[in-house]
Amino acid sequence: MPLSVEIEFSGGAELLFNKIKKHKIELPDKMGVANTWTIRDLIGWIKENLLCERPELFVQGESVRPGILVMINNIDWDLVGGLDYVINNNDTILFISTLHGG
Amino acid sequence: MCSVNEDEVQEVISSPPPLNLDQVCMKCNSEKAVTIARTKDPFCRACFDQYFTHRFRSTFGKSRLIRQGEEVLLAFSGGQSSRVLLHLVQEGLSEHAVKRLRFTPIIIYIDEGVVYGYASERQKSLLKEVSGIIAQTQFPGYFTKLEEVFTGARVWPISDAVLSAGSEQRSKLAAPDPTSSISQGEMPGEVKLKQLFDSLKSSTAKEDMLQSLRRQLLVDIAAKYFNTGKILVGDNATRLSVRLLGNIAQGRGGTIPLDTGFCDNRSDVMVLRPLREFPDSEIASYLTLHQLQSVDASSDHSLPGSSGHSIEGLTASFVHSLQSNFSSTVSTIFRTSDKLQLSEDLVHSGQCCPLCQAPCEESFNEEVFSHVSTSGNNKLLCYVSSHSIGCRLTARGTVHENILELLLKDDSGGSNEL
Repeated sequence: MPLSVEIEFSGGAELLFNKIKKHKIELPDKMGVANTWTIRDLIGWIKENLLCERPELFVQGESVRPGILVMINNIDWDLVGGLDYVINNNDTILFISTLHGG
Repeated sequence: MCSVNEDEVQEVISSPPPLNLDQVCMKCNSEKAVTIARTKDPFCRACFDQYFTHRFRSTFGKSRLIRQGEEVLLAFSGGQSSRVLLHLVQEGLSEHAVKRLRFTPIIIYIDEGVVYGYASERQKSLLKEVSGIIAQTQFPGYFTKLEEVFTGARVWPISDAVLSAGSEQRSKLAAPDPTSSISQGEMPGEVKLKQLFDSLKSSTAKEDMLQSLRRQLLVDIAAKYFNTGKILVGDNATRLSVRLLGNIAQGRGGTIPLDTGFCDNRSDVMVLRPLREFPDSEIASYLTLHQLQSVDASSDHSLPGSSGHSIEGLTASFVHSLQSNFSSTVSTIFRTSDKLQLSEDLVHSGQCCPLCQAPCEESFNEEVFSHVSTSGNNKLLCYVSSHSIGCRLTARGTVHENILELLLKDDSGGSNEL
């Protein structure tokens, strides 16, 4: 079963994604043993499939760049497991950038 | 006790906090937590709101600076922090607020499109977006352009922006100061501003100049048109921590209490920072929980022609990455700034820098000074200490001395008693 997930970018992060704030995506079945998607996997997927420019402004290592806050169904990701959170069908995942200047 | 045990540090980084899934709010102990505040406390939505509003109020209350019924200017950039500030003020003034705020806000937006090199279409749509948000609040709203810093600091009602996107030069409040229009010559402000920024060599200088001009414009407007002595800005704890470290690196260590404190009273008009207690993660949480839209002008906020590697930019990424491993980084830096005070010498110097308007010591170096001013009028450019760079370095690149001189008009005539 592919997972359908809503991904949202705000706080300036959307500018790296063609200025589109909301993306409805379907995560394909994963080949292999664990058929689960974690946020860690999702970030990698976003980097490959959605990110339009300057990846260094969004990802760092296998996580997002420090200063980007992740909310899963409007809950701070640190409260639900952070990178290891297992994504459910119809989750809404928001990436909100707090990196701004003046 | 100052030695650092490498093993201990390693341990802190490598062991993530225990995954406590589905935590409950630490305050009411019943609702499910949705956000983390104060570095590690889980909060439910209602308690977070309460905490946030309370902290905002107490920041104001402690200062006892705003009198009942006083008009204050609220600087709204459309960004996250000022969006939250606007919302908090709106909530605080609304009928159902428990203890109502007692001042009357006037909202002002500065169009900085020229500096960022935006096409006029982009500029207009930004202005429209911002105007829409301001119009919703029902507060009186105005906009201005950064180039107005050269041309008498005119403002336009935000309703003009909704109608015509402000393309016409009609201005209801504006009665341009005749003296400034004489000295401004023929060049439109827009061109001057562009030339000024083009002439600045480093990204650091550009950002620094932008900050100084923005400040100067706000102060001018507050005093000239609204006759108010107070401006609220959205600076948050993270940004102020970055500024603290960045300003030390730029040789502005001496005026850190002004640059990062709640009240910046370097000029007659005070700049207040009611959000200074909140790190930007809390700002972002508030924004999300209240579903507020912010207008984000640029993703990494780098000015054209700059590498993005300014002192402030690098300091910001340093602080952010440190913060992600050590969650009390920002609060630690920030609390340090609370303990700093202006030195007596500065308080009584009676001199101030015409660019950043910070007080400076009397001794100054002729050679650097003459580089800035050709006409030899005695204006000091920010020498907080004899070793400092600050505004001197910022101004060094400006080949258009006449432009800079315009800027340095007779601002230093104002009182800078502290």
